[in-house]
Amino acid sequence: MMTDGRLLTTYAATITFDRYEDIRAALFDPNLSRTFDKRGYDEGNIRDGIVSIAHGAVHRARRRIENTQFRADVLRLYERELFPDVMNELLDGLIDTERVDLFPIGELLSVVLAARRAGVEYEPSSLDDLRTLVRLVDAFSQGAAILDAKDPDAVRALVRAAYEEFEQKFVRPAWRTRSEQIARLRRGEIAEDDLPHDILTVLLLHREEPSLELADDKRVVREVATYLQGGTHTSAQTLVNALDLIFERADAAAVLERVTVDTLFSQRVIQETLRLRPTTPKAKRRAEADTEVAGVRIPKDAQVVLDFAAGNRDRAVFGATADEFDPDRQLPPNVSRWGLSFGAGPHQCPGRAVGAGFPVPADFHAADDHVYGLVALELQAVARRGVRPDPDRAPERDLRTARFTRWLHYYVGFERLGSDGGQRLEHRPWGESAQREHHP
Amino acid sequence: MGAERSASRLRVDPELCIGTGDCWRLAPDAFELDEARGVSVPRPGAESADPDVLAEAAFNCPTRAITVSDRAE
Repeated sequence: MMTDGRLLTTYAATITFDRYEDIRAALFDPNLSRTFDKRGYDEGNIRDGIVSIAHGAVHRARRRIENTQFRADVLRLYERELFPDVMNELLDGLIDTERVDLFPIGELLSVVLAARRAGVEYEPSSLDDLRTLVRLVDAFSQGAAILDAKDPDAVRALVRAAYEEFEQKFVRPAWRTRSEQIARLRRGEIAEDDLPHDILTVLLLHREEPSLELADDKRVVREVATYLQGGTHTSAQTLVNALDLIFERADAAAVLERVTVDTLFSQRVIQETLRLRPTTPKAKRRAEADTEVAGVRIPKDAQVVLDFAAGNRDRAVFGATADEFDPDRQLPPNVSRWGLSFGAGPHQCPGRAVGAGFPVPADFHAADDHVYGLVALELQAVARRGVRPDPDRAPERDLRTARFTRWLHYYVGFERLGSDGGQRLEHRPWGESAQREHHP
Repeated sequence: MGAERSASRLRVDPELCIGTGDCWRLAPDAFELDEARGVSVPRPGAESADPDVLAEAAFNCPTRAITVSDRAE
């Protein structure tokens, strides 16, 4: 693999795992690192030092402070008090015609709270701010997928420019206000609970701790960007992937009708979508030492490919119908309905419950404090507006990446403009939708 | 760092734990958060929790910080 005329890294071997249990074992192996590019790629690495590719002690130290922003009480606050109003206001404003491109709407829905959690300075009601953030997220997403990029050098340049814009427009203003508040805390004028609850704040509050390796301002910016991107991209892609899977079915209208009245079913649709359409279909690791996974010897400096998309369809775990979209499938209690799509082990996605909610109880009865996940609420909201395929415009995949589950445009129609009793549009039968590319 | 607390069958390694909260969400009677350290610790009386639930918490712990052992061990 070459970039900037330099060799990123060479591998002693490449070993692929495609069975669920083997992939899970690999994800827990401390010798398999996400820090692939230590030797030739540190300098100028667009993802240098971020938590996603940190390993060992620094990764643990970061996660301990960052995970505080994903506690159950915070998730409930977001899901029950903040998100419904924000979501419906945005949808009412954005679904202003019978036919729209749903993918950017999903991004706007997701970024509004992801930006709050990340801790950037923005105006939640400003579509200009939200659209700028979404544009930056798109750049960061390409950076996150750089190992699968078709033009890595172009991606690298794009991401560097995006970091600069992100820092100046959104991070620095927030940095100043948070620094002032942290100074007040240290003078005893306010309590820690009075500080903003977001990633930037905890990074600034703790950055003097050497174990966090956050002395570099740019690394703080990249870390905040990581959470903004992570909180936006998967959710937006999953919303349209869920609809795409539903629209393929002969009983699509009935499925959507169930979604409108059963939030736990909507959540199962989302988790089943994540299983079949993982936003990251394959992950890669580098062996930092000789190790063995599932009886396979892995030499130091080998590249290990973890085929999540295949593992999520492992019949030994998901049964003979593993390839089918079945939100009602029964699974063993120790198997996540989303399969391996959020990873496992130390790098398991910290925000998985934000988008996908808590694990669905085996008896399909949710407790009062259950968290359904924001994407289930989004799916329910668009279902209640009568979402259906656009018969004239086919969705468009994101061809900048080899990751097959990513979309750029997803055109849909709506029967109603409001969520409940809103203006009813001229009714059109489902009819034949435009030709959609079939995903495996 | 505060003192490590462990029940007779249950241990959370504070060096490995990253405070995801998966264990206390799954078994709130058996685990709680040590806010100062950002890590999970066994609650007093955790030894009486359902062993299957404890085993599930250990299985799901992303850093394998939880170990459950027989009292006799």
